[in-house]
Amino acid sequence: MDASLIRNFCIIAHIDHGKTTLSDRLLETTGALEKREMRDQVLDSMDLERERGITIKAHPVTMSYHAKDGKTYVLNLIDTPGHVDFAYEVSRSLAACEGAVLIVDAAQGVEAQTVANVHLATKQKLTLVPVINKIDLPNANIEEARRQLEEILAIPGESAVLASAKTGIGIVDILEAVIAHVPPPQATGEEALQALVFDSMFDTYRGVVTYVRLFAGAIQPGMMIQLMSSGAKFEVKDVGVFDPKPQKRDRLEAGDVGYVIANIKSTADVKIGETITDAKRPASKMLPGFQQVHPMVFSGIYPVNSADYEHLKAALGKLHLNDSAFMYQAESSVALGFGFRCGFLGLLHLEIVQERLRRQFDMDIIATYPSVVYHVLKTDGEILEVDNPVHLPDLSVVDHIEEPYVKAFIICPNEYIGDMMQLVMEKRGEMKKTDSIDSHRVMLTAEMPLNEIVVDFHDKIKSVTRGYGSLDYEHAGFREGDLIKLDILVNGEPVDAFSSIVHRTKAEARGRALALKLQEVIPQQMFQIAIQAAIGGKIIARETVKALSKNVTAKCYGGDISRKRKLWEKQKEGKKRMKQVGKVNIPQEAFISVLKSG
Amino acid sequence: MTKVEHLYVHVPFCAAKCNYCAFYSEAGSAEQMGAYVDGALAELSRYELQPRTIFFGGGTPSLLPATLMRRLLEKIPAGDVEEWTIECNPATVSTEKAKLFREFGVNRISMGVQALDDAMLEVLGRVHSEDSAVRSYEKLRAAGFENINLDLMFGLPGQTMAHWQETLRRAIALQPEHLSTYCLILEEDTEFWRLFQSGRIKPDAEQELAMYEAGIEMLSAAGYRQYEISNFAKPGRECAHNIAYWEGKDYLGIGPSACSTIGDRRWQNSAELTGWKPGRAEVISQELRASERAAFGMRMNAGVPGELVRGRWDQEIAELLSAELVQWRGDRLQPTRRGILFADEVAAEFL
Ligand SMILES: Nc1nc2c(ncn2[C@@H]2O[C@H](COP(=O)(O)OP(=O)(O)O)[C@@H](O)[C@H]2O)c(=O)[nH]1
Ligand SMILES: C[S@@+](CC[C@H](N)C(=O)[O-])C[C@H]1O[C@@H](n2cnc3c(N)ncnc32)[C@H](O)[C@@H]1O
Ligand code: SF4
Ligand SMILES: [Mg+2]
Repeated sequence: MDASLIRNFCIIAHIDHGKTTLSDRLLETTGALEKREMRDQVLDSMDLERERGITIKAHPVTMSYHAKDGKTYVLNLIDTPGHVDFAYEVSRSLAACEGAVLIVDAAQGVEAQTVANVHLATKQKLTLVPVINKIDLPNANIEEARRQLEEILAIPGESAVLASAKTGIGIVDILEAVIAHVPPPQATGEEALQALVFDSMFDTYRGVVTYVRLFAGAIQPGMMIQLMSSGAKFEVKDVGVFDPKPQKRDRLEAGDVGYVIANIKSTADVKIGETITDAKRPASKMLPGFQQVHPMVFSGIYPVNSADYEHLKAALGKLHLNDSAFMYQAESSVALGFGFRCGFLGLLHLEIVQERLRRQFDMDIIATYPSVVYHVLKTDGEILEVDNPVHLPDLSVVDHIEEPYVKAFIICPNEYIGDMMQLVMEKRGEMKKTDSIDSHRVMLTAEMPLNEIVVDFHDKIKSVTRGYGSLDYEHAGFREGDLIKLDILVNGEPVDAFSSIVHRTKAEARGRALALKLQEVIPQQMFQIAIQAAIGGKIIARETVKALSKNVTAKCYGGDISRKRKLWEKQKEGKKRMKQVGKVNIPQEAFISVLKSG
Repeated sequence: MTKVEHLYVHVPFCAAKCNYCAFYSEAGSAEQMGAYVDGALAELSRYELQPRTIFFGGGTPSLLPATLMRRLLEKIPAGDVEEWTIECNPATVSTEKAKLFREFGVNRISMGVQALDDAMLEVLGRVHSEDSAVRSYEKLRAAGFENINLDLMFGLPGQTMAHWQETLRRAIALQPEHLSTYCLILEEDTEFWRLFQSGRIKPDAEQELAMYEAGIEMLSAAGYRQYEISNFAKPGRECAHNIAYWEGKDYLGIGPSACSTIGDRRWQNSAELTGWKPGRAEVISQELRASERAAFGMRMNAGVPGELVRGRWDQEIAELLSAELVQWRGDRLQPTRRGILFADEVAAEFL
């Protein structure tokens, strides 16, 4: 294949600006598939992803297009995850491309995710093809969208293609613009195979299917390949492209995008960002940009019924098979028994995994309060990475603690600036700048501790701005913070699952709120229950659940024995679903309410 | 098959629905009452019975006109009956009906008095006054009834401790053989439930407890022995029919919404005035029946025989013993005073 006839590109957009719809249109126009067939084939296949309007994974699609210049081009469309939690994955997908179609909704204009995505694409030196979508809408404001492209993103507004993914306007123009502006793949100067792994998925029948972009050399079945970072070697079984159904090919060559199937067991064995080379004749260097991704957010996941431990383990194993960024490791908690410490790229990732456990695997789980990773610098010079409050050493041996920060981009209507700034301050954020985006919106840039935005920041933004605000962020290193461990004691016993690491200025308020909340959700029992919040042995809040004075139904039941029995059974069932700490039964809601009280 | 020894007949009519009550009953026209009696008789004829206890409950059995009541009573196989109770609402007791009951061998009356002051009776939506309750009681005595129970309720909206104690005093003054004290239960589909939902009724657990304990104290001082959570009797006047339920005996229920348990089957008739049918039977295994016996048995002060619970619930019993909710008395496992207050907690352990 003549590399000058190949274009590798992706589509970047804020959520709901039309990425999925436009992808559909491109496939339809190039004749890849009929519309109905596509629904199941390429689009966000999991309910969860549909509901949340995000695509976590879609495979690349190869289209063939007869351009106006009379030539037939190969267009490879590479999907990118739509959320910052997956920023690294996004960056690898971008690295597999020479260009990106940037969609801006004509009625909404530029949003937080647009800005963050453009940052990423510019860092990768991609050529941007701006598209103003949804021009069919009555409230479309094309001029305003053009102005925002120029002023906020420094992209010439006049060059934007006007389109409606819904009605089909401008689709051909987009394809032509991709051919005209996105550069064809360039030689890297290497002769030996260099293929970038930008994603992978696990298929029950075929094993791990690795998605690759070839920068140099060629790859074909039977060949021994080597992963340049891990050193692992595998034999290639199959190579091919998706059109969008998988189509076997004899070989893939420089410039191509497709899949490789080798005898790889788990997606964890072939990390995203790896360079695949020829084991016999390795390339002299790796493709740039490989990173080990480190989980940023941790949470303990425990079965409600301890008998389900093995099920949970199997379910986590299956999820990990297809999602190497998700990590898990056995741990145990005094309160919750045996479970797993799980690491996630971010909060959305955490929610997705928990949802999948519940829905796909039908697991009844309790998840503990999410924690970020802290760097604990001890007085003896040792540095610990702590992602579970339980493991925080005694503060007397700690010199200081560092916590992860992010740079947050928040876009909101002008009238909410005051509230937004206040929210940022409450979350210990530092305002860096405010840029006005148009006559009614601003973008705030702030540096904030990740631990403050992990739980409910996004929800709070939505509620402060009545749903109009949007947030995106990038990681911004570690900084020293005055952090302490907040413990919750139930009848004098610390409940490890309720512990959290918090900033000193927040500890008292959170301790009080937590104790109060627990007092509300822990049901009265036959004895009095004391709930205390403590910092290093000092009690800062106390609430009491009064003892139940009676639990008896003095009622006339007659022969309706079953009804009464069922009430007892329900009572007993309810008790079984609670976790016992000492003699106290703690319901699941208690654990959940701890999560919710950011 | 051994003949069923305990018969319940549900009479699904009430003059008016009380504000707290969820038992199945309707106003009922004379025609409907006739059709009901026909249906009950047809249902009765399908079983061979030799009851030792009979209980006519409701609803308000005493609401049936005398002629209809007679048709029903005639067909009850009461040859071997030792205890035959009919539930009465004070508003519907007449000397004529009392005599009719006596004629057929009814020997026990359970009267829903609930409260003994007119303001409270009004709150409850009762159709009688304090005065008519007392007069009805006297009519029953005059007709020769020597075994009368009165139902009382506590934990009622607006009821104070002094009120409740006064109710008990007046009830004791009448010297019935038996008293049932029920704590108000807010049942769905009642007027009280709606008031509860809208926040106008607020149950107060502390007060309920205090009233319950006051009841136990006053009644025992007056010579009534508590033999079950809600039931107090002069010695020898315990209700044999109810005890049969709690001891897990077989019983047959006739009439709409009535429950039956025979062998390993339990079913409930549908709640409709005419053409009621038995619902799908629930299979009650030996094991489950033993659980129920233990759970209900532990609501009685006499508890259960050790042989019933030993082996299967040793660990539960050990925990209950250490929580001082139960105690061994000879070879019977019995609830302690505290165990009575936490009877639901205790019962759940045996399921
Ligand atoms: N009116 C109009 N609606 C569109 C257009 N493109 C997408 N949409 C609608 O916008 C919503 C979000 O589109 P989707 O493709 O899922 O956005 P994504 O989140 O970026 O993938 C859907 O309801 C689409 O039907 C367009 O050009 N015009
Ligand atoms: C099956 S009812 C029938 C009694 C009869 N119909 C009467 O009201 O005079 C038996 C007793 O249950 C009690 N009861 C009914 N509903 C109740 C409730 N919601 N809470 C507590 N006790 C209740 C009343 O004391 C009532 O007298
Ligand atoms: S309490 Fe008695 S009279 Fe009142 S509605 Fe219920 S069954 Fe009928
Ligand atoms: Mg989408």
